[in-house]
Amino acid sequence: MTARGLWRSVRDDLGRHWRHVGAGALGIAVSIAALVFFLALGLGVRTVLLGEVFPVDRIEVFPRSTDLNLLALKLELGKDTIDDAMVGKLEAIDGVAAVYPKMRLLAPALATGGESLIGTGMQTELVADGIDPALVADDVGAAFHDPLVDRSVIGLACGENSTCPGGAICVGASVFGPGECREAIPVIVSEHMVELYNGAFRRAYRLPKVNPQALIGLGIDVSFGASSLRPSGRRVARDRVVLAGFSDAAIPLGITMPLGFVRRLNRELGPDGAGDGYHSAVVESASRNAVAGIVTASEHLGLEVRDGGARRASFFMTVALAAVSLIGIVILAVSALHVMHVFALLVMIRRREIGVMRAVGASRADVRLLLMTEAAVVGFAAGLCGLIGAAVLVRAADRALTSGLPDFPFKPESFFAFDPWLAAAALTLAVASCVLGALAPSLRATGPDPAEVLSST
Amino acid sequence: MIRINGLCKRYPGSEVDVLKGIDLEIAAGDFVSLVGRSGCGKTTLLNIVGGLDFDFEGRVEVDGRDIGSLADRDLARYRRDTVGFVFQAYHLLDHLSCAENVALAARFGAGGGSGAKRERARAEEVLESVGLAGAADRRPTRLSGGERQRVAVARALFNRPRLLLLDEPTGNLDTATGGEILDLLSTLHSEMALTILAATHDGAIEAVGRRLLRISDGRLAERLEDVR
Repeated sequence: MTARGLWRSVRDDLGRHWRHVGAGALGIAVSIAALVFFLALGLGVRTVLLGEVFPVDRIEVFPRSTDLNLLALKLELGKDTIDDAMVGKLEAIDGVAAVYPKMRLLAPALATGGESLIGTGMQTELVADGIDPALVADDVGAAFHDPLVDRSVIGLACGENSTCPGGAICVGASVFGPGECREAIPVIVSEHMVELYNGAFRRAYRLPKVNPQALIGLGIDVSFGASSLRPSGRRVARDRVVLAGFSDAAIPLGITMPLGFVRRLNRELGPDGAGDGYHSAVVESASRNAVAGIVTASEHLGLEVRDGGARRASFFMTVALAAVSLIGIVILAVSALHVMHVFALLVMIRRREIGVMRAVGASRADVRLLLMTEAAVVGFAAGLCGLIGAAVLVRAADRALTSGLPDFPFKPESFFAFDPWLAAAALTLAVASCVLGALAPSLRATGPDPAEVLSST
Repeated sequence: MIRINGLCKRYPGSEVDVLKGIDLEIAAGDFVSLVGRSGCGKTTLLNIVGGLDFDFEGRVEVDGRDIGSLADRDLARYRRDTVGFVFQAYHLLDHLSCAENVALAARFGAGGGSGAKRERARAEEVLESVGLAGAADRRPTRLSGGERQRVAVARALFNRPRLLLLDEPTGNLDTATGGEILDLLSTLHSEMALTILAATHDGAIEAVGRRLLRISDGRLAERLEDVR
């Protein structure tokens, strides 16, 4: 069959039978619209969950430990730190792009300040973590760095009432002797903390709402080694921390400092050996596909991934997407059955026409090609209509969700991921379902010989 | 041109052979009339020779090709390039114009995909040759029975076949119109040197044919050679 002949026949036939094929196409279009809408929603939510809430290209591994329950308490057994050798082993795992060790501050800390921002001073116990500044370089840039590395301000003596150059602070000055000029400690916090403050905390204490960006540069005084809960009996080191920025890699509740500084504080103020080991490590994978292998290899090294949220989110999203896909496929299969009935009807209506075509020189393959091409065109058109419908629905729903829902942590700019591959896959699916639906009728159409067909019509 | 040996045909579910060992030879350029009572097997014989019915026993050769052994694609090409078939019921497609009906075979490769303009020109040429100049864009539903049969003849002639098979070509026509069709066929036979095999009840066609074959009870019971 010639390409021109095929096109003319397809055009003529679909034009003639548009009511019948339209009925079949409608089901396919609705199925595709529903499938694409829910998949785009699922993929969009999945992107937020796994990309921002639980970024799966970065997993945090911890030393595997066993706790023994003793009434209300737990007796911690086993090692609870990772040493440099283990970090080296982690870096050697296939698919690992980088390893960023983390260390908890093992000394109490008491923060004081806040007058300049909210008009009243506050004092609070502080939880702190130390991370490699490279881990958050993309989020906060060079502002987050270890202040002890900047030698230009270290070593300058300062008194209680003297100032240090370049915004540095005087640490350790007293009536007994001079102190040392040092840059304030840059810290980062999670945006979740600001959301928590602006949500429940400020309402409970009748405090003003704050703009997160205005907080950058805010300084508070911290007494490391001090505690309002009980006297530590340790030496107290007074210092000043300055907010350098926000990052999802920061500890959810507390401040996150440069790793080197926390190590020094642990060595000076913490228990013996506190600055020698890391408490966890963030392992960055080269690709998301490598994550599963990295988790397995880490577990073989005696480590564990405690990020249950990511696992649950990933599992939930996978199940949800599979369920949505399954429902969509079932609807599509039902629509394909409908297409099959439509084409069976068309074949019956066009029985004589098919007989005439074969009598003048069409082979069985020509007739099948014609019917399958018609089905493919119907599928493509239906898929296209479904995609357009889905795009309109997605836009309307996205607008309603983003503007209608109140702000919440990790609220995305768009709830949908309408990727080109999704559109291409949906179109392919629409065409395939129509072609499959038309397969049996087209085979039946070419079964009998032309003489039998024409003698019976 | 046509050589048939031991042709037998039995329809599925039937216990009777419609054709019982037909042996026949038709030379190129012959005009053969096939007569016999209804149901005697005339149409069946035409369908088999025309490649429309390929479930039979025996050997049917056209231009040296064994029709029964051809694959579907080759059989389709044979129907497209070698044979022109005119049905008693015309079997025109009402949604197509006369020209489109005539050039239908071109959609499946007849004429080697010669292009829309050449197809149209050829369709108009054959329509003119059957006396329907100017009817190219009309729908078959707007034509009389005789005109429809002329369009059917034009469709059969579109690809310059060597063998023209006619199944009761005047069966649905009144005597006058049937006479016109008969004149047309006679002219075509003499001008185009076609081999024609016509199944008919029409005594006029019997008279026009150079050979007259009678089928009775599935057999070629009688041969009247060179009746003219």
